[in-house]
Amino acid sequence: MENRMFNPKVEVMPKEELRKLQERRLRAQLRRVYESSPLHHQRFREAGVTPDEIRGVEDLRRLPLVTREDLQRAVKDSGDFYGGRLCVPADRLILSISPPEWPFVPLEDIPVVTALTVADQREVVELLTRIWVMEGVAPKDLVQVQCWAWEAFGFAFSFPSHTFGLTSVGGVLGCRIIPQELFVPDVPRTIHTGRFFKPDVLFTTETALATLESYLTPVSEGEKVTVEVAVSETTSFKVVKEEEFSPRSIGYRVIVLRAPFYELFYANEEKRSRIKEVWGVEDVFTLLDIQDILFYASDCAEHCGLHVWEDAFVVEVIDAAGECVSAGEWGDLVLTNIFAEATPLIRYKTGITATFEDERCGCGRTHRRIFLRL
Amino acid sequence: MQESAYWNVIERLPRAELEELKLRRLRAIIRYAYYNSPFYHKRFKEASVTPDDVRSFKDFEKIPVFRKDDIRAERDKTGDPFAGLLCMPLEDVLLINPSTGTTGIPTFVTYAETELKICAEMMCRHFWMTDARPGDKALTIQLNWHWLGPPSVTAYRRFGMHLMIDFVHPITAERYVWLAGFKPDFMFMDQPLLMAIRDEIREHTGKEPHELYGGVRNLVCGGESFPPKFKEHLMQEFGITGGVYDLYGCSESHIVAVECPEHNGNHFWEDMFHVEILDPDSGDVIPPDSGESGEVVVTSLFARDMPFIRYGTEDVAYLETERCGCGRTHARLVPRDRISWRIKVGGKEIYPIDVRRVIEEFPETVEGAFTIRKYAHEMTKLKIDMRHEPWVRPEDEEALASSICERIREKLGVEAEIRWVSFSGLPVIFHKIERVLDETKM
Repeated sequence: MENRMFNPKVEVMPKEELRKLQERRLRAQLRRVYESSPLHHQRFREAGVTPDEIRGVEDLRRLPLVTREDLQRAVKDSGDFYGGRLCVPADRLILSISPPEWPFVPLEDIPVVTALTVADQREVVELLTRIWVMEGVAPKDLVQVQCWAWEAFGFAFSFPSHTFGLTSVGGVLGCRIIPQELFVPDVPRTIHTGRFFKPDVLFTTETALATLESYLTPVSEGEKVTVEVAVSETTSFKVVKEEEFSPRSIGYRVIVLRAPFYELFYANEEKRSRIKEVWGVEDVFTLLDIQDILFYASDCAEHCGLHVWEDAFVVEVIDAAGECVSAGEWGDLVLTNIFAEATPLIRYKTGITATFEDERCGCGRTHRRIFLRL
Repeated sequence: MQESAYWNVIERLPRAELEELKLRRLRAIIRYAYYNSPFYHKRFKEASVTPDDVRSFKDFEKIPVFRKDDIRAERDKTGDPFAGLLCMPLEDVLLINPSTGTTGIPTFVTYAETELKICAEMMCRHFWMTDARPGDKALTIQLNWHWLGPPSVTAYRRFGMHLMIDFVHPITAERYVWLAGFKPDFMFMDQPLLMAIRDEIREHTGKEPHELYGGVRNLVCGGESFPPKFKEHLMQEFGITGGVYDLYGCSESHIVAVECPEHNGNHFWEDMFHVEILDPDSGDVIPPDSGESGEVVVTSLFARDMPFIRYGTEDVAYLETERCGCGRTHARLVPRDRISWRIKVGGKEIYPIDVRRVIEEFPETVEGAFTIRKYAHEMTKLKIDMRHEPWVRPEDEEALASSICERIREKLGVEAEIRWVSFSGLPVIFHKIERVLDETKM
């Protein structure tokens, strides 16, 4: 596959220059959150640090880590819907989303709300577009995307209403999008849409892909596959009766497996070749997303770890003592969002075990790559 | 500066001008479809009509009506997912949306850029009409493939509204307990889903929905049309301060019709759509303002990506064109039901909405949770499975049933029989109650 980039200037930016850009944005972000968000302000104060004392990534360790539980506690204690995280006046927000820890949340769970301004939306679209191009999605492709309606991810691709001030990945790349839900009743809908339109790319999750596969695999050898659509517990109808049907017959070129942080996953060599074999695709990618912080990372065709965008995030890996580890050592993934205006997080402890690599990737990109331990 | 009551002054265009505009656009779209869509070309030919033959609304009636099954049949024959309706290369389309598929294999509709813009304009007029304003916080529930999503979201953006989206699923209804913290001004969702949310809130928190959602100014509800008493009931349950507005929409042609504050039917925009009401048996056009209902047949006047010309929606409504109290000149649809829900009892034709209008007069059954069991094509008696409010005592059930039956006899002139059931005793698709359970097909 051809190695294409959406924003080569940034994606292959020399490490030193990239670090400068990152630190400039980091300093601006810290000043902003300190001045505009009660929660961040309080946390700086408790740590006895002012933003001016943090000159670069090296100093970042002086700031405390924040976990999802901390954010939930802040919501509970402050009674504020955003837990005091909001860094812009509420009337600048265009979207609030509440990514759950798990789609079917327990009631006791407290929502962690992520909000976006127009600029945030634009930035998420830029970062995701880089990823889509890295994964080989090309203009004019037909892309089938399974996601939940509440996701920023969905918002970023599926509403190509750039004419009214909203950008979208599909709009930027000139792709056509078929949105689908991730829940089980939508599996037949995904299959039938696939059968009709022969999409080039499928965004899905590992479990959803397994469900798709189970629908497309005959119960016994030599039997034809029929796909049944259940519209309720009492009514269902068979849709495909007389057709040869298999995962390969849909003809996807690329499958991207999404790894939301509640369903962590990485398509290793073995998994990739199995999926390639079953679905007849050229390549399989993994897309990690942590919506609380609008973080997305994906592998490139080299499959050497997940690329993060260092002009948008500071990525640290820390050990049990809270110290940053060096490349190749394992620890807890900690993220700092240096682009978001509305609800950025500083030193968000994700609970994901990871390590990183700073060497330039075979694809030429200079940004840090992370590796997950599942 | 005084705020305008209308999003677009065209909403008040005098009817004569509106009719003229409509006819001009109608003729243009017919010509466009004839030369660009294999589907229409073939059907017009079969009916021996050419675009030149259509000079008036009367001529327009020569064009054959088509329905979803015709799309499916054509699709099976040709293998074209759009059944020859698509008039542009697929590359020029922005979005492809599958239909809900509750009535069969999903069909597909598209949005190209221009069509999306026009549909967003349509939604802007509706939102303004239902008293949404810039700066409002809007809570909406939608499936992300649903055709109404893109134009609505675009409209929210154009308004400068702050949006919170959630997903449609009964299990996640409990999310609404805590999503109430968003304190929305404006809500837009399916009415049956709203009831599911209400039940979740009661069950899981012991709180009343108005304790969480009280203060919401206006609620736009789609999914199923509902009568006035139920609207009041909804307002009380959720503590809505402004109004509840009924929304009718059909994915084919993208028509959306919404109530204005007068609540006397759902306005649709006649510079965008031409709507006819057809007698479901004879196929004759029923003139507007006659009060007689029939099948809604829609023609989109703008869709160049996928034109819909005389599309039979299989929904039943009547049409009113008299100037509305709100000042809008555009016609109103008064939605009733699905054609497939039409039943014959004692020689009379009845729709479930007629029954609903009668039973909602009783506070015990204001929610209209019922299903009619169609045990024969010609029935002598209505057999209804119904749920009542939880506070009704078992010993009062019999008396309640007989007074409802009495009222049905009085208002609809038919005999009825009521069987009390729990909610799970009713056939439900997602959250929607199937109003007629066709036992003749079982």
